[in-house]
Amino acid sequence: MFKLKAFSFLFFFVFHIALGHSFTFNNNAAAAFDKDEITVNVNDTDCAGADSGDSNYACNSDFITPQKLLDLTERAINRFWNRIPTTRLNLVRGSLVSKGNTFRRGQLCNESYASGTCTPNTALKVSSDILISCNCHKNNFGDSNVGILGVTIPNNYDGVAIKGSLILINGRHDGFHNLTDNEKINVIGHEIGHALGLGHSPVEDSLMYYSNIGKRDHLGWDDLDGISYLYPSSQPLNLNCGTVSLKSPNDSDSSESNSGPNNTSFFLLSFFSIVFLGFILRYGRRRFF
Amino acid sequence: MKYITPSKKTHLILLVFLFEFFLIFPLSYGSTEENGAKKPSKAFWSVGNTTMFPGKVQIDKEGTTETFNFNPTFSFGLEYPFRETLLIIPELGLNFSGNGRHAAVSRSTFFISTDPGKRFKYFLLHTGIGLHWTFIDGPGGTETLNNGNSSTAFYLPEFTSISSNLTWTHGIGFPLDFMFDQKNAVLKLDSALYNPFDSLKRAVTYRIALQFSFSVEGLPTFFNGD
Repeated sequence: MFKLKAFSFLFFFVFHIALGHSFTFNNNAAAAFDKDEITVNVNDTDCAGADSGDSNYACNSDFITPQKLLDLTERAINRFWNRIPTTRLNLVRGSLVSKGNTFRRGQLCNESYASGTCTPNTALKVSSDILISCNCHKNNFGDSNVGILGVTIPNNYDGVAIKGSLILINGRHDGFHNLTDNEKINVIGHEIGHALGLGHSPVEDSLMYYSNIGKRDHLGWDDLDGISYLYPSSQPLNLNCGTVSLKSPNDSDSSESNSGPNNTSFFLLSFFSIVFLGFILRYGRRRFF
Repeated sequence: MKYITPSKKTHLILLVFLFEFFLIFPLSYGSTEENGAKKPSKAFWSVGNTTMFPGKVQIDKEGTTETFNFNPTFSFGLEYPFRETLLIIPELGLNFSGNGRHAAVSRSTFFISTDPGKRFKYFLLHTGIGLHWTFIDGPGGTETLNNGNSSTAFYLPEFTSISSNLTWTHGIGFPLDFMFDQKNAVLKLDSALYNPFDSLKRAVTYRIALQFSFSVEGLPTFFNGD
């Protein structure tokens, strides 16, 4: 018996090594959205071939359609950010919204990308949730292709609460366009991470690593911990708050579909609780009372 | 018109839940000997390892997901005999999570559960509902990391964040007395299912542990007293 106890103590202490991860934030207040359900919308302005004669705003002739961008966005949120077990966060596919050419032509920051600083351009302020748009301004991505696939900034704050975030996907060069769908999903997923308040991770296998890696189907520990830190779950109190999912029979049941939490769990937990209590009262009565 | 349509996995989980729930209790009641010798209440402690969220997290550039990770786990609990072979097993524990890759941020999980269990000849089954609290904190400050073609100072977490999750716990314990003549040692295999009814957020942890039981003088005998 002593040997077993000694072994278990050894097991516990020897392997209790320095632990942890290294996610970061993109602001010093660890700002985050102040709600659990965040909608991701896409600007309906098509970039393909737009402003082809203008050196400042010229877009790539083959950029994907807004509808395709919205579909990839849905796959990104359901492949990555809606799969974290320890967060209350639930991202929802939004819709195509009419924002005109402002978000296609606008500069994310008042400074050029190369300056290293960013004062948000108030003309592109997002009123609520997350907006994704293709964008072709040379000051966002460089006059020639320097490998920037997307840029993101939470540009609407109320204290330490993010109210709106803007994601601009590079429609100027062919870097994003030439990626496979899976790689595009990874890039969009990475930018959504920034929109939610995360910074970069030094760990290569995290989605928030600064560079796109070839094979990516899941989040890394840094991503999971970062979102759990910013948006911790508080079950059982929020078990079903605001995330009821009503799906039509025609909705697909793919692994990336947004089945989300639904109120079935509430009824089932209630049912089993009642059964359990009934059992205790029925069979425990003779023993207890 | 819209309908609530739980996924196929949700149906499977419900079936397993029903199977476990209604197997343990009725069988236990049916096999109980009303006048059988009562087992005394016991306390126990255990030490082992918990693997967090296997299959859920990528750990390298090739897309490999984790099937085992090392998170030392320590727990303490009680076994109250409810009937001859039926137990109530409150337990609380702590596991120190992480993968040792970086020391800047730490994560640990505290858990409690109160599972009903059924003792069979060579093993013990239990299932119930638990609560897991995940603590994440960091040292604050900044870390300079690559950002596009340059580098930027990003901010590290400074305070402690706590996530709480309701879990469906279940497990099996094998007393080691018939193998190693260890009358008070049990090999435990436990798991906790997070978000069982949410097909995307659903995740599991599993624990392998050695448990040591001991009798405690004055332990409440509410459940085995007449």
